[in-house]
Amino acid sequence: MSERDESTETRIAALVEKATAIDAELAREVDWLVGRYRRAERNLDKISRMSDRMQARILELNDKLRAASLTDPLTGLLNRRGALDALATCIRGDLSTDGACMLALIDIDHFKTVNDTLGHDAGDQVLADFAVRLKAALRAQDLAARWGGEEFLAILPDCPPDEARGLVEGLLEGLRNQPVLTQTGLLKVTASSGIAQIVVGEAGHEAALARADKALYAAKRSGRDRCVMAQD
Amino acid sequence: MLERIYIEATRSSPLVECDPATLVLRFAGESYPENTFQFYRPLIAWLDRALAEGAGQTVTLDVALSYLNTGSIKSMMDMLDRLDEAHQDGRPVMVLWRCDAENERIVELAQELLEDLSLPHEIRTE
Repeated sequence: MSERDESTETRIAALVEKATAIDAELAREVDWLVGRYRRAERNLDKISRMSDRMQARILELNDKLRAASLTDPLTGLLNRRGALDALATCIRGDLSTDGACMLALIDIDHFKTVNDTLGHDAGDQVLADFAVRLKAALRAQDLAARWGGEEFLAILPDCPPDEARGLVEGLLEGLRNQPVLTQTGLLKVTASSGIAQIVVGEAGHEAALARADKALYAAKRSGRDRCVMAQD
Repeated sequence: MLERIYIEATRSSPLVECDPATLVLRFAGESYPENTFQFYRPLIAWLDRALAEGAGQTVTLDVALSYLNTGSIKSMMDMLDRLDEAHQDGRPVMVLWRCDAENERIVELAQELLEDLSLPHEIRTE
């Protein structure tokens, strides 16, 4: 071999040694990068799952919030907003199948006296008790709302007027015959009611409610503790 | 040379203290700063230097955060990964996560962040 061949061989050997060292170093760097990449992937997975859980929680809270905003806390019935919502549903035709709902406005007689003489706690107990009786008297498909301070609204879809009257009279009779138990003792309570019909496609709920209110007024004026049908 | 970092808490960003003497990186308060990654970048860099320069001294991450936005969670993950790597290389590290016992979400978050890691850690409910 010539001198030139030998030094070339030496140079090549040195270069191969360098290349092997670079290769090993590169492999270490690649390993490190892969490790980081895997951690990044795992973290992304984790964050995605956290985000999914949060979205589910948001939906759940939204539902709860919506329900709470339509509920009267004392009685557990729909509040006025919930009732207006239900009336709109009725008018849209999404509540009944026969095109009409009966509305019953029910007002507890002499309620202010109860509050004034026995206190607001007793008054609240009367309202809560009445709400229970109202729900019990209604059918599964009916809606019950606390319409005002001592005023309640029942919405009865697919209900012949006579049946609605019968239901409400049963409720009033039960109230008449079974005094309400409050912290101050048994309290004799009665209620008056006006019943009207609301028809699918009406321009709004105001007219029907006005008819029910007029009937309620007639019930109050003619002695209370009774139910009057609206003159349609 | 490792410097001291001290950042006052604001309504949306946490109190931060990086102590070169004790090698403790401490967070307290709530974390949802407007430019989250910008906020955390120098702190993660400090952690890297502490891990590189700290010799045999334990590097500690002390977290008392009650709310973290997603960027902060990601930054925490980055810091925890670095600590975990150091731990696997034989360096002494410690993670302490302080939670309010009534804050279920934070306890859950701490558990989730630490569950895949091998480093020494404590979730302390106070």
